[in-house]
Amino acid sequence: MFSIRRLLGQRDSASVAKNRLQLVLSKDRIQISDAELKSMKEELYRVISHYFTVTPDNLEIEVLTRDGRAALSVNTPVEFPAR
Amino acid sequence: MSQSIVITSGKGGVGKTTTTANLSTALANTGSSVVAVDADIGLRNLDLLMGLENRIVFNLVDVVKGRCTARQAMIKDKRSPNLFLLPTSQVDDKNAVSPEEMGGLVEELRKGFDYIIIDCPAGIEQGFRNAIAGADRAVVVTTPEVSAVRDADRIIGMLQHHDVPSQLIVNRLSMKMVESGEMMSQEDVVDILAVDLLGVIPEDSEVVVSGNQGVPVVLDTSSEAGAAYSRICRRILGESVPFPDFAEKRGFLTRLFRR
Ligand SMILES: Nc1ncnc2c1ncn2[C@@H]1O[C@H](COP(=O)(O)OP(=O)(O)OP(=O)(O)O)[C@@H](O)[C@H]1O
Ligand SMILES: [Mg+2]
Repeated sequence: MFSIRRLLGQRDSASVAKNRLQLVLSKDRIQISDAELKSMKEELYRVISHYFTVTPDNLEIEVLTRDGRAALSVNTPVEFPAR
Repeated sequence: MSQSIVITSGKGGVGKTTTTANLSTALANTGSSVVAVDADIGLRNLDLLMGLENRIVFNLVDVVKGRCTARQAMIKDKRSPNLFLLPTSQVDDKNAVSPEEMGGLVEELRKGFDYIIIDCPAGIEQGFRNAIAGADRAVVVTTPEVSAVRDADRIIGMLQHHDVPSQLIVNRLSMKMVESGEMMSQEDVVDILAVDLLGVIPEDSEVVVSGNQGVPVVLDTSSEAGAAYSRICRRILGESVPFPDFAEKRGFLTRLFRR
């Protein structure tokens, strides 16, 4: 059986679930409070903006786990300053 | 060498007690000696699913507090001579026992049994710490729903922290819903949790029927859930059993539309 919703171009709820989980777990796994996460973001933003032009809202922080090891990943689009 | 396995989940009501009753029964039927330990103090259920509720005299808390021996508290299963239940107390709460006491109890049970299967309460508090205290490894049960998977992730992290390796059971999978894109598949769940998959149990009304009767569904291998539990039992024994995983039943159109 296939979903008529998918034929109509709507996203199936299973992939919505998967995407939402991946996002929420990347935050859960950091295991720091929402307030700490916010202040870490602010500090990182301050440091990075010494070197690049960045927007605080675009700063993404995730913890990726693979083979039982975790890695902190900080992702942001940057603009090179005009020199 | 005896093995202790805790059946845990984080979120409540996802199938821990059902899994404990079925895996204990299946393992005993292969000839291993098995004790199923109900560690859900205050919410006694495992006795009901095994059909042994009328035989309880002493319980786990009595054993830990030295009011009786483990042998006195254990109940022999009606069908399998190698299967015993150590029931829990219905009147105490999770704090009646400490992780050290539970660890000691499991050590004692190792002397008499090949497998010690521990039914863990929901949650991440003392009851969870008690249940994992003596465990060599963990089976984490989840359903393919966002809340259950999120809680399973937390539990897997906590188990890792305690150096307890974990494997996953995805319970109540409805292939029909997976096919229509309305339920995450076992691959999706494994992908998210990055954990070894031990088995998949389909949604099956026979689980409810078997609960009504106090006869674990694994004794009826013509049921889908029963067959799935016996495959999991063989995997625990070290056999490599392929995952039929209901996936090959997927139709051509589904495969076409599934990215
Ligand atoms: N594969 C299945 N198909 C249909 N129903 C199921 C299945 N697995 C479990 N159930 C039903 O789900 C309910 C909860 O199961 P169970 O008591 O084993 O969960 P639990 O994780 O031990 O709950 P708790 O956290 O309260 O201890 C039961 O009513 C059971 O019949
Ligand atoms: Mg239970």
